[in-house]
Amino acid sequence: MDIDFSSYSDVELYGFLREAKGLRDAAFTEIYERHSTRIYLYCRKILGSSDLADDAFQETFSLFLKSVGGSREMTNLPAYLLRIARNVCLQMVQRVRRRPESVFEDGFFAADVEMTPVERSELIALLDVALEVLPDEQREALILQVYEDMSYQEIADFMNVPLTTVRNWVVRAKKRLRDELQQYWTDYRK
Amino acid sequence: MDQLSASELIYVYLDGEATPLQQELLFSHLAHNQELQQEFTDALSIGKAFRQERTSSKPPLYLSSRVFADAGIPYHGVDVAAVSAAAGASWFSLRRFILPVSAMMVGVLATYAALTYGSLFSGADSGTTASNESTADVRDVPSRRGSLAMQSDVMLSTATERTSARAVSGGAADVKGVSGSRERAEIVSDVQSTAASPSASSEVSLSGTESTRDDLGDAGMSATSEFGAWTERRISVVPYASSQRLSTVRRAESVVPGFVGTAASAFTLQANRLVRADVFGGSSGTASAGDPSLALLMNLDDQWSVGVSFSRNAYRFSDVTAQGMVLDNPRFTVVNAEAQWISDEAVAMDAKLFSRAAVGVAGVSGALFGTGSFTVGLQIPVSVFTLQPGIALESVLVNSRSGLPLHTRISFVTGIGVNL
Repeated sequence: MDIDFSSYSDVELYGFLREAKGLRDAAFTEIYERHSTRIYLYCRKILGSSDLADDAFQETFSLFLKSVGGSREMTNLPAYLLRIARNVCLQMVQRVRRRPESVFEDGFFAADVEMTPVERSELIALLDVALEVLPDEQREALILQVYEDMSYQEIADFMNVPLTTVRNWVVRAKKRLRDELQQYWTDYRK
Repeated sequence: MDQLSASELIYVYLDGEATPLQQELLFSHLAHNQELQQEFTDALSIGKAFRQERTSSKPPLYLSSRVFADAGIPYHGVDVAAVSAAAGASWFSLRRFILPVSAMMVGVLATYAALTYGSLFSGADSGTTASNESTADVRDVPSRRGSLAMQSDVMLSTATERTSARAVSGGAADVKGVSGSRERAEIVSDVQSTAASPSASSEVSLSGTESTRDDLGDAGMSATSEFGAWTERRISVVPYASSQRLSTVRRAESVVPGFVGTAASAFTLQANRLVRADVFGGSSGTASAGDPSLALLMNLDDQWSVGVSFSRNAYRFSDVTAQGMVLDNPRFTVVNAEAQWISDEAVAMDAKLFSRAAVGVAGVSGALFGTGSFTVGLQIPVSVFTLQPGIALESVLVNSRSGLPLHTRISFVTGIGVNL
C-alpha cells in the first residue's frame, strides 16, 4: 500500500527516519523534496562556488541522516537543516576565502549586458555576482532574509545577534547591492 | 543605527519590517524626492529578482543523485549528464559492431520475409487458405483471403555484456471486400527477454490499411541499419563511489567525441498514398536493444508526408551503476511530429532526394526535454530494391539550469526497401 507522505508534518517524517528502510527511504525523499531547494540556495549563495556548494549541500544531508540515530527531539526541521548547512558552509568558508573588492569594473555592463529588454534572469545573475562583495555577516543575513524568507527576528535568533544588528546588515547589504549595480541601472534606464 | 535614513527605510519597508511611524516617514520623503523614488524602484526590482530565483531554483539532478547515493536510497530522478558521460566516454569498440551486424541480419530476415510473403501484398494468389472464399469477387480483384506470417529474430547485445533474445511473431489477414477495397489487419506480438536480467514484455500493435484495387502494388518492406557517430558538445563526468563521498571528483567539461554503433531494424508497410507505419526496433551504445518506436505518416501527395512518431527508449546505466550511481534504468518516451519530403524529380540518375524533419518532446521521469532531428538522403532504385543512404542529425536539448548537456548524434543511415 502506498502511503502519501506529503500529508505528514516534518516532525512526523523525521520520526519515520528511525523506522525500517522502506519507510525511512520514503520519508527522506519527502523531506528532501520539501527542503532541498532552500538548502541548495543557501549553500550556493553563501559559498558562491558551485563545486563547494555542491559538496556542502551533500554534506548537509549526509550529516542530517547521521544525526537521526540519536535521541534528538525534532521541533523545527527546516531550521535544523539550515543550521547544519550553516556549520558546513562556515567550515568551508574558512578553508577557502577570496573576495574581490568590487566585481564590476567600468564598462562591464556596456560590454556584456543587453539593455533592452532586460531580463529579470539577467538581474539575478548579476546579483549573484554582486553578493560576492558583501561582508560575510551581511551576505548571510541577506540570504536568510531573501532566500529563506526569515524575518529579522528569526535571523537574529538563528545567528544569535541582536535584531537591530540584523536589520542593519540586511539594509546595508541591499544598499551595497544597489550601488554595485549602479552602472546596470544607469544603462537600463537609457 | 536606530535612526534610519529615508533611503534605509525603503529596504526595511520592503522587507515588511517597518513600523507605522517609519512607513509614514518614508512616504513623506518619497512624495517629493525623485532620487529616493528611483532607489525605491530599484529596490523593488531587486526584491522581485530574489523572489523569482527563490521559486525557480532546484538542486540539479546530478547533485540529487549524489545525495541519494550517499544515503543509500534509490533515487528516481534521472541524471542525463551522467548518462551522457557514460555514453561519451564509451569509445567505439568491437562489441558494438555486433549490434549493427545483428540488425543487418534482422534486415535480411525482414527482406526475406518480404520476398517470401510478398504475394500477400502483390495480390497474386499463392494458394493460401481462403477462409472467406464465399465473398464474391465481382470486380476481379486478385484474391487473397488470409495469410499468416511468422518471423523470429535474435539480437545479440554485447554492449552490456548481456544477451537479449527477441522473438517476433505476427499474423496478418487480408480481407477483400465486395466493393473492391482491401483491408488489412495485423497483430504482432513481441516478446523480449534478457538473459542477465530476466524480463519479458509483450506488445500488441494493430494496424489497418485500406486501399483500392488499383493501388495494391506499392506495399513493401524495408530494413534499416545505422552506424552512428556520437558527439557531445559537453560532457559531465561524475565518477564517484556510492559507498563513500568523494568530494574531490568534479564534473569536468570537455569535448569527448566518441563513436557508438547504432543499429536498427524497421518494418515498414506503406500503402500507396495512405498510411505508412514504421515499427522500429533500434539499439545503440546507450539505448537498449529493441527500443520500440512507431511512426504513422499520412502521405499528402507524391512528395509530402506528415505524421507522428512515438518511441520508448530505455537507457542502460550499466556503465554508471558500476561506478555507484543509483539510477533505475529510466525510460525515455519521445513523441515527435514528423514531416517527410521527397523530390518530384530525380536529382541524379534515378535517385530522388528525401529529407525528414521531426520535432518533439521526450519525457524522462516526469521531466520534459526538447528533441529534434533532421535527415537527408537519397532514394536510389536498383531493380526491385530502393537503397536509402542518408545522414541524420539528432539532438536532445536538456535543461541548461541543471547543467545538462546538449546531446547531438550524427548517424549515417542506410536503408533498403523492396518494391513489390
